[in-house]
Amino acid sequence: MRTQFCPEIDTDANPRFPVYADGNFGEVAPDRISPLSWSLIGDPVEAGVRRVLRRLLPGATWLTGSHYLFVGYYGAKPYHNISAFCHAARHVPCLAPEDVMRAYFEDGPIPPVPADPVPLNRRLAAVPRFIRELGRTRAASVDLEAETLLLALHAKESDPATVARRAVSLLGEAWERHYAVTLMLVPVTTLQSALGTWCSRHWDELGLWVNRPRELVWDTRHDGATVPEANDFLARVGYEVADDLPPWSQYGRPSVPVDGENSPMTDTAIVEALGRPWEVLPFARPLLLPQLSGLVRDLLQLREFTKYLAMRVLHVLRGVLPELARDRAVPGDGWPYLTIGELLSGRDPHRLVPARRAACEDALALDMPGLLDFAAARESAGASATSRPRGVSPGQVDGFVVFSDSWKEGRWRITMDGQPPVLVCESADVNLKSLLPHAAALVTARGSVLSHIAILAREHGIPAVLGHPVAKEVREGQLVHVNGSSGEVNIIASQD
Amino acid sequence: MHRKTDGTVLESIQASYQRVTRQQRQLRDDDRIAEDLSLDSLAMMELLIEIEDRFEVALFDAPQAQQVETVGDLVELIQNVREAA
Repeated sequence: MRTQFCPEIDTDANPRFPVYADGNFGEVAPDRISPLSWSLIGDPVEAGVRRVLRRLLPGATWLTGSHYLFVGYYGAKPYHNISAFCHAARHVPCLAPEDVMRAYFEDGPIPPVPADPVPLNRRLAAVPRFIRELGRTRAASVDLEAETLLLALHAKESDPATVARRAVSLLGEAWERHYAVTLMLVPVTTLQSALGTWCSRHWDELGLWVNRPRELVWDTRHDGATVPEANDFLARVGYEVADDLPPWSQYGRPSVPVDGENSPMTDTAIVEALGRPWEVLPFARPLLLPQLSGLVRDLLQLREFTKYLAMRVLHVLRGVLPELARDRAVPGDGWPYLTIGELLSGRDPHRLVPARRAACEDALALDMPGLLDFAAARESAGASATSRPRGVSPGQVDGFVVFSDSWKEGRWRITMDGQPPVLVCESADVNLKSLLPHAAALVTARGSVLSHIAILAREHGIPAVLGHPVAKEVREGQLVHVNGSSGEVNIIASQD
Repeated sequence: MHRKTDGTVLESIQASYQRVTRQQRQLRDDDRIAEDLSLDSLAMMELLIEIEDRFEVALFDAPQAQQVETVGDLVELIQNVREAA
């Protein structure tokens, strides 16, 4: 098997950690992204994750080297290095690689990790560092928001190169904070689940209710916003900064604005009970389970907040990069084929465009798999051939199937025969946030327990099942039963 | 019974609280930390870390930390940990 698909643009496969998956990219980022967008994600994410882990695991020699450790870019498709993330899990007490795979990578098969055991004392030493990192991340994110808003406010009146350089610096911080929270969420939720399961055999469902985050940043910052820039941001929330240029525009996931009545389906009695779950779990308080659950909710909220910050900075870059490209004499649609470093360096970057464009055309013609194992010469279509559906937001509802494209094209209906709509799609992220208040339930073919759409579904209080194969089988108009607690989705009737 | 706590410690906690929350607010001994101070879990953690750094004490490990409910309890905890050190 090739170790590179398009040598002109691909990153090199890591020789020690050879397994990659598109999980948590595949349902978030566009399926393919331009080299420029990759340079705004891959490099800062790599640097940010290394900085975080060096603080948490000082002296870890495996966190060095010139190969990308945690991300990869093959055939114009972004990947996470799941072997490296699973290896990091081994250094944290109460955490195992399968916890990472379940939380973020669609419960896929665990990649081989180095066999040398990590001493217990070294694992335990990471605990106080985790606590300090938790305490540090919130404050840093609040400061970062102020910087981000200032950048957005002054972008139009400043020199594009200056804005771009500042944006790249802030983007690095935003990704670092986002991955810091993402990394810390796994051991905290794993510990919570262990304690919760000890308290109650119904914890699997109870935990979904308890882990409902408070109001998320997408609404608190933009609900009713009348500032044009803010509305433009919400309409183009995504990782691809060249989303209005072909061929990258066809891979984008545009946000879907929608007008219409809400179709609230949340069981108010259960929602009210959310505040009192500890009354039915007598052993929960001494175990600090309520406090731990509060921490989970706050971390979920912070995760969305840090992602929001990264998206805001990307949106600023979306606005200045075309002008910067003109200043650098790069042809009109050529700038997405350069990296941000090349565009800012000012050293005749336009000469690189023809070869990169050709390489990207070759790359986009490839059918890139969801899983890449460069050691075993193995690839497969999805992150896991045996991934199982997961209920990620509790509740049950019957409703008729509507695809997100129907909403976009205005063919949706509020109800059909008195039944509410169930939104069904391949994968979902913030781009579908505007539809959630109108949906009775959500079913996707891809996604993980801690993915963004799971957090959003819980925040909106709608039942959600991710990773269910029926999402690819149903037809629009069919009546389905969705159980967001058990993960079951059943077709009840077909539309005649 | 009116509790008399160290005013200096209380002032320092107040300074830390204002830095973390960016709010100007007078803290009282009988303020309940969980209910009255409007701190989520991460802000609470940030506050405790700042207090640990400011007073050079370890609060997360202190057994008495489990009984802290009010600002006055926190002041007493800091005083006790510093004296024991």
